Amino acid sequence: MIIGIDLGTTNSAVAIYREGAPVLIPNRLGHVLTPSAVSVDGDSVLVGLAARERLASHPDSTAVAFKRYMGTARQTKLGRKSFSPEELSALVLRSLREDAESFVGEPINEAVITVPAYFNDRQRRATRRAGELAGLKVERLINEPTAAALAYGIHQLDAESRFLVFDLGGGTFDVSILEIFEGVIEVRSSTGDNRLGGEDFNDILIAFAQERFGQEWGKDLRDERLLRKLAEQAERARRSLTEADSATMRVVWRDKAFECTISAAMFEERAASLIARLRDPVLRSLRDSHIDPKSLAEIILIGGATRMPIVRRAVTRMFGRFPNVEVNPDEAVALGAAVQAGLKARDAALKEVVLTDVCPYSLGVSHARLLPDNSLEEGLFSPIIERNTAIPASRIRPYQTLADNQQEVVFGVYQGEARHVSDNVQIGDLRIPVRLAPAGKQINVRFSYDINGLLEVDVHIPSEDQNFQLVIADDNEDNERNLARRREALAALKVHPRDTEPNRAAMARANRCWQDALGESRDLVEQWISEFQSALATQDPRTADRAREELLTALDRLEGATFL
Amino acid sequence: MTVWSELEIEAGSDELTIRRAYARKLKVTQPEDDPDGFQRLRQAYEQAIRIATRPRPTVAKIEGTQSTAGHVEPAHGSAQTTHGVDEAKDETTPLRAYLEQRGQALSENLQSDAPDKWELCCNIQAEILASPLLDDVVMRSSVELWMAHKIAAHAPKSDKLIEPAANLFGWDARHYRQPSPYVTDVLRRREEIAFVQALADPRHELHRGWRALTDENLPVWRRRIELWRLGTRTQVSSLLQKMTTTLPGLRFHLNDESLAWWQHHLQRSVLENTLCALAVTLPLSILATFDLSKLDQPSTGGWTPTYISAVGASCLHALAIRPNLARWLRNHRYAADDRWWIAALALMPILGWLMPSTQTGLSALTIAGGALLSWQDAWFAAFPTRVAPRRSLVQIGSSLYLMAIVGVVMTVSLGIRLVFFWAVVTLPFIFAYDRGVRNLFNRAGQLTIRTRRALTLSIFALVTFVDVLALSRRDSWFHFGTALFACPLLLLLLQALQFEKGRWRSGFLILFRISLVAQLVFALGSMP
Repeated sequence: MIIGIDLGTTNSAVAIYREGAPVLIPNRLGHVLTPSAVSVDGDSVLVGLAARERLASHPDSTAVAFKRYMGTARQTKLGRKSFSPEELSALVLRSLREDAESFVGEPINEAVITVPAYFNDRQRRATRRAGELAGLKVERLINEPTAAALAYGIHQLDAESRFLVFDLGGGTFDVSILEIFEGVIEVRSSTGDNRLGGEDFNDILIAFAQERFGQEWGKDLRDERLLRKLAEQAERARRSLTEADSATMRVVWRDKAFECTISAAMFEERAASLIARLRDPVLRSLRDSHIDPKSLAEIILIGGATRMPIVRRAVTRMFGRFPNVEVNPDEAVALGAAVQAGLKARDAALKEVVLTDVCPYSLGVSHARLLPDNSLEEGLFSPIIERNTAIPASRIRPYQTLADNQQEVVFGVYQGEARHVSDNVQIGDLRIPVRLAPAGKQINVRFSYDINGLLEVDVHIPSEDQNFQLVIADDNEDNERNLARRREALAALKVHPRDTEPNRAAMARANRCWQDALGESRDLVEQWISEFQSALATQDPRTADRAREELLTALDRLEGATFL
Repeated sequence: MTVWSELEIEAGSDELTIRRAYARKLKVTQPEDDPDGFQRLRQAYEQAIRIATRPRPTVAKIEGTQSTAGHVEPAHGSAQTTHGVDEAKDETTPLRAYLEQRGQALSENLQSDAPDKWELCCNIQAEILASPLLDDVVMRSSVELWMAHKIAAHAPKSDKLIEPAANLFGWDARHYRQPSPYVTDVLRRREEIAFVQALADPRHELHRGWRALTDENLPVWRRRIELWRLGTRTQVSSLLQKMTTTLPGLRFHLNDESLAWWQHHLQRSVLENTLCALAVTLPLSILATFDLSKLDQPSTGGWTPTYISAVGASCLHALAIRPNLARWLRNHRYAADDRWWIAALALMPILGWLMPSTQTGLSALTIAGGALLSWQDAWFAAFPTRVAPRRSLVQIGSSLYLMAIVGVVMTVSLGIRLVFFWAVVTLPFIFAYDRGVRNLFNRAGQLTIRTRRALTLSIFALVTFVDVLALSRRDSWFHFGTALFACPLLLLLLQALQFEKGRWRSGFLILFRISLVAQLVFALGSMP
């Protein structure tokens, strides 16, 4: 069985395609969404809601939003161990895999994982490595807007329509334009912004609170715990601004309560620059796909942050019509991933469906140009595969040596849209030794995007009949062993048994509420905690479950429901 | 295999048929299983669609003008537009009307000649850019393209309109693909404006050339002087080159009349130089070759024709040969024939040695030395990239040269000191050449600045020593020798002036002037 996993910045989900429909798999707490959070508690590791609850109380041992660092070598220190972003993602993936295995009842080794459409090559490889570290063979990497479109369009395969998917998630923003005809789902263009998401809107609220209370907090403004508390409150406030006209942020710091209220109008004013950033990818996507906006049948919003009224209003203003909000923004991507998994497994129900995707970045090499006055203009980008070409794609382009007796040619491989390679992302470089010859020796460079959006580079010198291949830095033999070693290290981390998770999560939440409460409320919470602990001590699962339910209900009444 | 046969449809089918065929074939050649087959199919499909749908321009909402936005697929018959679109349109109709009217006002103002039109234009532009209608993607796209078109069409008068538009629409010169060719033009215009502003700074390297081109009050005689000044001439020609290749808008800032004058004279001066050099060099060289044997009369000295010819030939031969040789080498395919040049030039001193006179050998030596140095440098300069020339050729030439020096030294008693000093100074350099030491060359295959400076200064020192020596002897032979030795020095100094900047440049300029004057004085002074 192949599962489909949505590995999100804030939340992750897993789904499976069975009996002709994709179905979300609930986790050990009974939710379909698992927060992408990892926390280290002494020697053992917590993943999911329990970890996220520990964020405010143990900010040094908890990591969230590590998807933003995928593709970089940044190490996060949790407790006494340090993890790379892939390892953190691998822990989340492993937890999801276990949930799926217990739901389906058989071992699962393959998965389809979603990535933002605008992830570059490094980030995609990191995601695939994370899957491998979790013991999953990552058959396909599918773009998130395409997945959502699959989930939406799978019901409308007979129609011919075009629609735009507007995906504003926790950390990334993607815009894709798709077309369905005759059972073919075709992505026409895909752009986005890797640094724009719900978290940036939270930052606005955090800045607001910091302005208000900056003087009283003084140097504490940089304290991790305070920032975490603020982040949590900002998230809450942002969500409540979706329904209400104003929201209150309440932070308890050094045994004092700080409260501030922000109105929806003020929030909109401050978020204006972020809203303006939403426009450029949309325009670029439309231009690249050569589609008239009026011929779009639907604008589909996915991603939790699109619940914000300011975002919805912006989209309405952009297109002069109301977007389609019927698709569940949190679940669509995972369901789509499951559909892709079904497609891969050649499920009978999906025989008439084909999906084609595009690459979002232009890919090329750095080259130099000889100017009329015999000087060299170096560092120019020469695109070989233009963006929004259907993948798999392979293009070949000839280049020439510049001087007589040149002994080697250096090709830097870059991904991006800028004219100078210094503004693009470098994927690697290729040093080709050439035999001495006059200038103008031809060298052919072939670039290929495979179906996952990953790159292959081949260089061929016709006159010498030699071939060279670019080995992208992290895919060689040596790293195979590395990978196996890291996988074992991760597997060796102690994780508590599944069935104790709900209790742990409830306990962590109660602890957090205790910290945030003051005076009378704090005493109340303390009382609830001791009741829960005594119920746990009886070792009777039914009593424990009931006590947990009561605790959670009480906490909901106190601070509002848990959101995911 | 045509695109039609790949898709298995009739040639010239319409779009719907093409799509159906593509969908049908795609289900058979799945991209996962058969990437190559998929690519062929996909390229056939895209090509067929391109043939079937001619590009249709989008109609800009402003002014009813057609701004080509490239190929845009119009709405299909089966596309569903929600009723939300009509509602939105009703609300915005008065706004659209206002926008259209403002657009028309801007066009009129751009074309009029009123004195205060810039203020008006800027204000109107601000009004247009502040319209809330620009939130809509269609509207925004049209306005963007229309504004780019207007600004590009009215350059340079629309310069003030560039910044606000570029800021709002996010026109970024760093992207290699712009939304429309007009945007590329506008961004280039912005670059030109910035460049012109930078040129006004006296510290800019092209400032003098710019002043010569744009100053309206520059009298013609001043211009002629500037024409002969090496620095100004190169600056003007590089500015003109920029104008013809990358920044055509520079012509808006140039004085038409002075531009024409400079273009005319620059071309002429190159031609003049070459012709002059050829006309003088050839007869002198022939004369020198036939008359060398008559140089063995130390007591007479003075301005004999052979004396003049020897001096003139060495200077002008080297001068004339440099750019021509470089050009010849650049156009010539890679070949190993260059070694014959070095061998020939290096053999000349040996011939001189064989001839029964010291002066002949010495003069031949000097000619060879000067020509060799300047030739080698020209050769190296022909390589615009990072590789130094082949070692073996340099080695052959240098060793022959060395042999020649030794040979001359053996036969001459008085000249020993001179030649010895020459050899001591240039020997290490020759050996350095000989070993092909990479760090003597920079990435462009030329001698590094340090090497050049060392060479120039050492030869200057040698010549000074020789001059001082000459003062103590009232021998015209000596003066002759020193005058000859000065030629390569002058050449090297000239070259240094081309490459140096700042304080080194002014230093070398002073040295050059001193040497020129001193050598002239010596040459004149050696007359009987």
